[in-house]
Amino acid sequence: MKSQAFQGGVFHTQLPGGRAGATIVIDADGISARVPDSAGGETFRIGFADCSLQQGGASGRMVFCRDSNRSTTIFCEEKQFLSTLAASGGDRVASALSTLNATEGGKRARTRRHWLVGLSVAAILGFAGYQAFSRAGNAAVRALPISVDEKMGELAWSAIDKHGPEVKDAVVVGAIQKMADRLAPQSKSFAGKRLAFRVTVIDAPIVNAFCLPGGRIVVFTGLIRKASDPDQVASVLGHEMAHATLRHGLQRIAQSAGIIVALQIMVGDLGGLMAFVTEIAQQGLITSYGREQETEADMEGLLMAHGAGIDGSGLERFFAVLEQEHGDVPEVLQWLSTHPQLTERRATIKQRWKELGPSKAVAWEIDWEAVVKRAGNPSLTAEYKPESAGVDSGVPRADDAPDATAP
Amino acid sequence: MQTEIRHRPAFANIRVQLERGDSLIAESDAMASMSSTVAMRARWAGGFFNALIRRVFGQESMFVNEFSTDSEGEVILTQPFPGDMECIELNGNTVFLQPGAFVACEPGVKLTAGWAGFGSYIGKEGLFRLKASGTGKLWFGAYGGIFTREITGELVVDTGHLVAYEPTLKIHMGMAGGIFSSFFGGEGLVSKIRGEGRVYLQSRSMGGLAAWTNAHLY
Repeated sequence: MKSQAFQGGVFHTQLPGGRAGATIVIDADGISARVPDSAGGETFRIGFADCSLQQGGASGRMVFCRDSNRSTTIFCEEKQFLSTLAASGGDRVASALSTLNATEGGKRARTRRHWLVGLSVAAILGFAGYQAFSRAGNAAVRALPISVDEKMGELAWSAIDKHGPEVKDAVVVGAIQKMADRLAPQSKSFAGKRLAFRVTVIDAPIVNAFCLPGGRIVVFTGLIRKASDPDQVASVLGHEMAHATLRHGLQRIAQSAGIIVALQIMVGDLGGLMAFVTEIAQQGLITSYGREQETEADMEGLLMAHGAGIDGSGLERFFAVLEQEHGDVPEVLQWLSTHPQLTERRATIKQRWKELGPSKAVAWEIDWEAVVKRAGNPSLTAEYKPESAGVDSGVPRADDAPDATAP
Repeated sequence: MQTEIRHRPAFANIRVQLERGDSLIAESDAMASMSSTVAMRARWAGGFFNALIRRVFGQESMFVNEFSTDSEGEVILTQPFPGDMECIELNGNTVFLQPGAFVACEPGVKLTAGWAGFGSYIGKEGLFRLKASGTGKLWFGAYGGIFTREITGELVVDTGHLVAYEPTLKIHMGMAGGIFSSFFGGEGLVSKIRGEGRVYLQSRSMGGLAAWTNAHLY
């Protein structure tokens, strides 16, 4: 049989330092290891009959062959070493190989079990920790006074990129503010008071609207031009206002914050929070909500529209317009890109609106054609002078009850 | 080439006397002084990709310096932290060095970066380790004193004390005792070194010093 050479090493007391690298040869009778000349150039040999095997080392793949009195150990990590040993040694190493396979198989099974248990425990602890932290954060947010939302919202407004000049035109801003004013009395109240919703229209071809914590509503002219009737815009406003009344922005801040900032929120220390709000507002993350929050805002927005005599199905129709025009390319529409699962949501909105029953539709005293036309022409600047913007109308909504979430 | 480790164990440094034709590889920035007759040339530490892995995962420089001379000259090599140094002679065998431990070697020693495993990472011993193999002298350093243990079975070592070990040894991460003892006894995770081979340990841990310093800052 042709012998085969491998690179490995040998432990022996005669060697300088007790070890050396070696060229290992497996022949018909056993294993020989020749150390380099720098280590004496000697050859060490273990016969197959005298060889006990073990696997281990840093990689776990190193094969150790020890003689019976354990004075010589030859080791090798090369892949073919064990199979060559089995082929050359035949019956003489069969027993040693069988012991080795049983031991190593058991070790591997134990290691797999340990990893599986470890990963499962880590996943469970991670999930439980996240849930506990998230719930504690949301509870802490609910306990904060609404004035905190207003401060955070204004701070965020000063920090975010506006994307265009503010539209001052009375026809455009007045129409949108009128929608917000009609929805406001239907919004959730906090200790008997409601958020003061103020509308800002920005001239930019962005199909987007958002409401910052505290009640500042920002609508881009791109969205106004895209909508085919005022109910569509009003429904979108209802959805966005619901994010503010449900305090999703603050929850988002609490969830995005590091643990230190989150703990500061929980104990009511708002110093670090201010800096954090500025940072995430600049990144555009303050109005980026989770799927659960979007659904919650959809339902709350529909409830507000229903109470205000607005056709809440406008939300679904607005989605349909966008879906028809742009298909499944939501990234071109920022409002859509933050509102995923469109088809499913349209169905849910339709169903919920139906469940709410018929509402007493109140006609808009708005010249919608003029609004759309002027939104497309910002040079028309008959300046809007707010009359009741930001003033709580005080009209309670149907399901108003003493607010349990107020501090 | 004549070499000597001086000022042991606290402020060990290597004095190398190079003869004509000798050369020595040393970690980047290890040179404290050298004769004007000695030439220094920077080169990738084991090729570009090896150097990159050394830098990113091994906390070592991407470059090593090669010192040589046409006549004779002296080079003094040191390490950035106080502690001892050790010289071992490789005879075709291999040694793994923990990140930051390598100081110098003779040209016959080959340096490559090798995967150490997630267990090693969790135990704060790094994802990668430096593999030194071939023939020639190898110098490495430690924070504090260096002591060796010949293992035939298992040795428990606190994290941060491992400096170098042979590939015949397997490092497992584990707890020093039960859950309560491990965490409230201050030992936390430990390395359990199993197999047959030699391990080099340092008497102080850099992480331990950092934690102690941090606790006394305020």
